[in-house]
Parts: sequence; C-alpha cells; structure tokens
Amino acid sequence: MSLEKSYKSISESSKIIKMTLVITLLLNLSTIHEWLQQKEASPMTSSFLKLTEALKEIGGQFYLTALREGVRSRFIRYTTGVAQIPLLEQKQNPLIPDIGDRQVAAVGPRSEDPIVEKIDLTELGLLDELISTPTAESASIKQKVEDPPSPKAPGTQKSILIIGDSILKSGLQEHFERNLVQRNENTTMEIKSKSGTGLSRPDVFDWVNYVDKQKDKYEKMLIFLGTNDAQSLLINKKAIPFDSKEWKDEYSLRVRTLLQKACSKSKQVYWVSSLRMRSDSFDAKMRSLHEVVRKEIKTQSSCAQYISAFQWFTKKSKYTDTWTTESKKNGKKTIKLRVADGIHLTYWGADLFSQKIIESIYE
Amino acid sequence: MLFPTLEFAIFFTVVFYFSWELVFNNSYRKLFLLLASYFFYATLDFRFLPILILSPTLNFLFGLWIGVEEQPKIKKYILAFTVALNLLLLGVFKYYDFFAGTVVEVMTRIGITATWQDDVFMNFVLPLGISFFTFQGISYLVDIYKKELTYKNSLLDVLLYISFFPHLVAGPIVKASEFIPQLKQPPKTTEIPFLFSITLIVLGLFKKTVIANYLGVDIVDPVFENPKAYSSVDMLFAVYCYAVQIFCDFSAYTDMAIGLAYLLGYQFPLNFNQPYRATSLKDFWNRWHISLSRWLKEYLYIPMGGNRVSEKRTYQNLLITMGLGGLWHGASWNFITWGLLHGIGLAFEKRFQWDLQAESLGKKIIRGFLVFNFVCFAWIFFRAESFNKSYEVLIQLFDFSKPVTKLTPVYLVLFFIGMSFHFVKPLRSWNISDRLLQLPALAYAVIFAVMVTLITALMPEGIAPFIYFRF
Repeated sequence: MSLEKSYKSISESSKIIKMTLVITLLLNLSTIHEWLQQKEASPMTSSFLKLTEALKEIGGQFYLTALREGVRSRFIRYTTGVAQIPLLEQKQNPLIPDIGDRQVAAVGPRSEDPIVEKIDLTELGLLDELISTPTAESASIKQKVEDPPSPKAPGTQKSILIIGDSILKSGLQEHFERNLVQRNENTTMEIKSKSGTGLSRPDVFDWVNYVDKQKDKYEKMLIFLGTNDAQSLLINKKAIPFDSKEWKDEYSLRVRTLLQKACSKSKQVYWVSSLRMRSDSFDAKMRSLHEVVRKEIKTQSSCAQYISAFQWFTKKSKYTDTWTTESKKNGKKTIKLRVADGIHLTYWGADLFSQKIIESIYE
Repeated sequence: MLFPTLEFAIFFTVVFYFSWELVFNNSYRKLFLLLASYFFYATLDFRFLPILILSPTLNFLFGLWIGVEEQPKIKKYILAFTVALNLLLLGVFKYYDFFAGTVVEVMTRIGITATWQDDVFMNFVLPLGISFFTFQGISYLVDIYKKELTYKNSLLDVLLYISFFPHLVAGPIVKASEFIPQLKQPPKTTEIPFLFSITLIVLGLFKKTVIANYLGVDIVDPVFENPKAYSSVDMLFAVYCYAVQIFCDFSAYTDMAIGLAYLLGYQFPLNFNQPYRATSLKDFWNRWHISLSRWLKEYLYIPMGGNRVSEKRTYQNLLITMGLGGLWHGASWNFITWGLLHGIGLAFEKRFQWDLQAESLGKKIIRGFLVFNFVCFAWIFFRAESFNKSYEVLIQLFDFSKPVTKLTPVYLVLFFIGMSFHFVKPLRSWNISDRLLQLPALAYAVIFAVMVTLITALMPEGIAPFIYFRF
C-alpha cells in the first residue's frame, strides 16, 4: 500500500504521538536539561532545572541517555576540527604538522597581513601527545578531570585552580592539564567546569560558594565565566534586564564577591574574557559583560588581573573560525578553531587558546 | 520558535491535541488554529502581527468587492488597484531602501550630491514571511477574479488561509483556490496519512539539522566569507555544498510544513521534486520551489502573454518573470542577477529547443550534468553577499596554489547523503507492507523516538534559521 495513502484514525495517531513524545523525552533527558540551562532565569525555570537535573541522573543510571550521548560523542569529533579525527587517521591528514618539525607558528587566516605568533611546541610537547596512541597517563589525566576534587588536608599548597563554564569544559581543561604539566612537572592543579553556569544563575551552580569552600591555597586561579551570563538577573523574584544599569551594578557585586573569595584562596587571580564570538550581537553582549568585570578588577581588586582575549584569533578584529599554522616544512596549514556554534572551541582551538593563556600568566 | 526545536514540538503537540478535540465544531477549530498561528508568529516577531491581521482583512474586503462587481472593466480596475496595494506593502518594507540606495549611488557616480541623500533611507525591518503572505493575498484576489474561487468566504477562512502557521513564514505558497475549500468542512478523523506525515517531518528534521547545518556552517559560510583564503577545489566544493545546503534547508522546511499540515487535516501542494535531476532549466523550475514557479507562471508570466505572443516577446516575458522572481528573494542586485541568469538560460533553451525531453540515457546524463552545473553557477550570485564577493568566488575557482582544507571525508559523505535524496524513490511513491502497517502503536512510537534521538545526537549545538526565512 502507498505510504501516502496508508491512513490512521485520529485516536490511533494521537496515541502514537503521545507515546513518541514520552519516549523521545526519556531518551533525551540530558538534552532537555541543557536546553533549560540556556533559558532566561525565572523561578519556573529554576524549579524545572532541579527536576531535570534529577531526571537526568536517574536517566543516566538506567542508560536512557546512552544512545544519544554514545552516538554524539562518536560523531561530533569528526566535525569539530582535524585534531579530533581518530588518532590513526591524523597521521595521514595533511593539516597535522609533521612531528619532526616542531617550530610551529600560529598565524592569522591566510590574508594580506598575517599575524604571526610563535609558539614553541617542542617545549610544550603537544604533537607527541596528539599523534601517539593514548597512554595510561593520558587516560589518568582524563579521569582526573572528570572526577570531583578530592578532599585535601587544610593548607596544602597547590599551584593552580581553574574554574569555568562549557568553554573550559569543551577541551580547554584537557589542554591546560597537558600544557601545564609539560611546562612544570611540579604543577598541581584542580579544574572545575560546569556547562551552562555563570554568576547570573547561582541556583544552577554557586561559584562563590564553590570557591569559598576550597580548603587548599593556590598560587594562581583562572576564571572562565560569563558566556552564559548575558541574561536577566533574578532578584527578589524581579527580573532585571541584561545590560541595564541595575544589572551592571548587581553583576559587579557578584564579580566582586567572587574575586574577594578567590583572592582569599589564591595569591593571583586571572579572569579571562571571551574570545570574539561569531554572532555580532552576542559578541557585543560579551564585551559589555566583560567590561563590567574589567572595571571591577581595575577599581576593586588588588590580587586579580583581567586578560582580554577578544582580539585573539581574529582577522582585523573580525571573527574567524579557521586559523593557519605555519611550519618550515609543511608551510601554512589551516585548522579549525571553533565548532559549529561559533562560541565553543575545537580540540585544536582549545589547545592554541590554552597556550596563549599560559603565555599571558607565566611570561 | 523554529520547527526543529523543543519549543515547537511542545507547541505543536498542544495544537494537534486541541484542534482534534474541536473537530466537531469547525468554526471553533479554525478560530483555535488561527490564534495558534498568531501565537506562533508572535514568538518569532510580534511587532508585525498587526500587518498580518490587517493585510488579509483588506484582501478579504477587496475580494468581496471584486466578487459582487458585475462590470468586467471595473472588476479589472479593482483587481489592479488591490494587487498594486499588496505590492506596495511589500515594496515599502522590502525594496524601498534598495531602490533609494540605487538612486543615491547613481547620483553620486554622476557627480550629483544633495544634502537629503543620507536622509532618504528608512531602515525598515522586514516583517517575517511578508513575501509569502503577500503573494498568497494576491492569489486570493486573482482566484476570485478568475472565478476559480467563490467570493463568499468567511473572514476567518481568509485569515486562516494566509496565517496558517505551517506555511506562514516560508511557504509553500498555497493557492487560495486549493486551500480555502478545504476549510469549509472539518477534516475526516479517520483519514490521517499519519505515517507519511511523520516520515516527512523526521526526514525534514534530518535534512535541516544535520546535512544543511553542517555543510552551511562548516563549509559554505567560511568559504563564501573569505574566498581568497581557499583553493580552487575547496571553492568548487563549497559551491556544490551550497547547492545541497539550500536544497536540504528549504525542502526540509516544506517537508515539515506539508507533514504538519497533513497531521492537522489539510493538504499542501508538493514543493520539491528532486530538482537536481532536471535535464533542462524548464524541468528544473518544474521541480524546484514548485509553488513559487507556479505562482510566477500563473499570476505573472501568463497574464503578460506567456509564450502565446511573438518569439521576441516570449523571451522578454521570461526575462521579466525570472528577474522579478529573483527580486522576490531579496532586494539586491545579486538576486536579480541570479533570476536573470535563469531567465537567459530558459530563453536559450527555448530558442534552441533544449527544453524538449531527452530520449537516450546518455543525453539525459549529459544534460543533467550541464543543468546542475549551470544552477550551481547561478547559486554563487544567490549566496554571495555582494557582487565583489561573487567575483572573488569565481576568480578563486581557478586558484590552484593553495592546499585543500575543506574537502574532508566527513563533509564529502554529508554532501553525498544530501545529493542522494535525488536518486532514491520519492517518499510519495513509497509502498508499505501490510505487516508494517499493522504494527502496534508502541512499536511506531519506539521507531520514531529512536530516529529523532539519533538526529538530536548528530545535530550541532544551535540551529541556524531556515534560509528562506529571510525572503
């Protein structure tokens, strides 16, 4: 029978639609939670978030989210940059610089006036890590990133604490681990990242409380927050629109509170701004938000420094999601810096970004 | 609220449930669907909701006037006046700044400057879907004039015909004479082409969120933004990828629109029929955006005389129709050039009779290859932001000095999947075995849920708006 002419009654159709919806929701519990995290703050979303968080955990226990997450993790690596292509294929990929040629420079997209920034990969040992088969050591690093911080004895001296949102979570933390370990073997670090969080939604995750509860003392602390904060703030059930004067005052206060806690736990604190975003309107929001942070750091904080990254990896201040690396042997090779959303970083992009930040704080 | 979002899924489930609950009172059902459509439009852009109400209301009143008028000459004048009024609305919002800019540029080039030159621009924001609902408004008036549709319609029917949310912002352009009669009676509760509709929606979801999104964001956008950075092979790949992207994007929207309308009990016309299999440009336009081609043919080309005039006038009519068809897509010389290229191509085909059916398979393949490449060539002007960018793209097609960076296996696979929709049996011709038809509801639900979950697993974060939302 023709598919187009194979009719169902409305009661049967209705039944199938309802069941499809329920099963789809069950299989996509993590998607729903992520979707809600991106919504504007309101008592209702806050309440739903708690519910979806709990449902997500239950779904995870029963492997309901396994189908989506399993397929996604395998597929996305093929589309988010060359370095995420399986390791065996990387050796044949013309975009991966040759292992023997270590002096690589990151330059702007092929243009009339390339911006050349030398990065010494010999020192950082990046390519060995990329091209070799994953070792027990790298697996342990991954494990360490995913595990929650273990309780330490009060007063233990640690080198660095890095906190942030999905920007940190999507690859950046892994490269920090790798690049910092390569730079100084004695470096010990804690990394805490949580997608969809910031200072606007302490009901989702309270960063001030997290920093305050740290028992360790650090040499340096890096903060990557703000990407999810371009939204109204909810105070006493009243929504304060983003970018209004009231909003800026309140956000300044939250930044100040976080910095006060951070300075009590770390000798030096660095707040890293966003990179240039693909969407001009979103980029303008990020600049306005980080301007609040910058002013707060300048006027109120003695231990904190603001690292502006808006001009990094741009072409004449404009967004680009590709970047060209240059080596003597292979000439110029273009890599992909950002994933499809124009916000998050690819594996390679995260690597270059982490190197730039390490340069900024250590040199 | 875009189709491939969770918000829309919730919205549609609510609309689906209540619309069928109200099926025994057709007026209440239509009123409910109209309010749901306004809600849908308001979530996209509420500022222009008054226009969406006012424009069809005026068309309803003018339709009545055309219907009751007995003098053919006066009838014709009313029609001309009301069509002009519709086009004026479209022209003010969509084309005013374009024409003002063109005049100012011409004046500047010939050395005339005036103090008012900077003040002539109005910077109007384009109401979403205005090109579509204006054309449907004109269709309502012309169909009454041609007596293909009665003028005795209720205002509710006319408002719903133009504002019905599945086709409101990006088509297909449904003719008044084929949709309004469907509203007269409540749809049959026993004849829902459910499996066909859901398959269309799931397929559309896949085409848009996976194929069009990845090819668009990762290949087409960066290459067209900065053509000079890419090699000849990358450039050619990006042009072909755009052909697949725009097909998957737009046909996905109409697939979903047709599926959604079916689920609510209404039928929309076919809008795409494997266009890149065309063996002539005439054939291409019978397969691509069929509802627009039909509109242009019935309401513009034929009233101008079509091909029943001298040979020279026929070519002229073709150029005007296709040029205006290009302009309909957007106020830019790039779109006009795209339309004119197709117009010139159609005129050449007519002159040398290349539009006749090819007989042998070999001829079909050669012609198909030539037509596809001509269409892709024209897409360059459609996609590029400006004439300069189009020129850069064309130059870059011959730059063999740069390494190939975009042509990677994963995108090649996506490209071929996108193209493969042209070489499998169209969904409308699919047959389904009785055994599959007898499956329990739960089995269908599991199959559809797994398909949707796989699509959400494959899709990138964030969905770009449909390309045709701009038009």
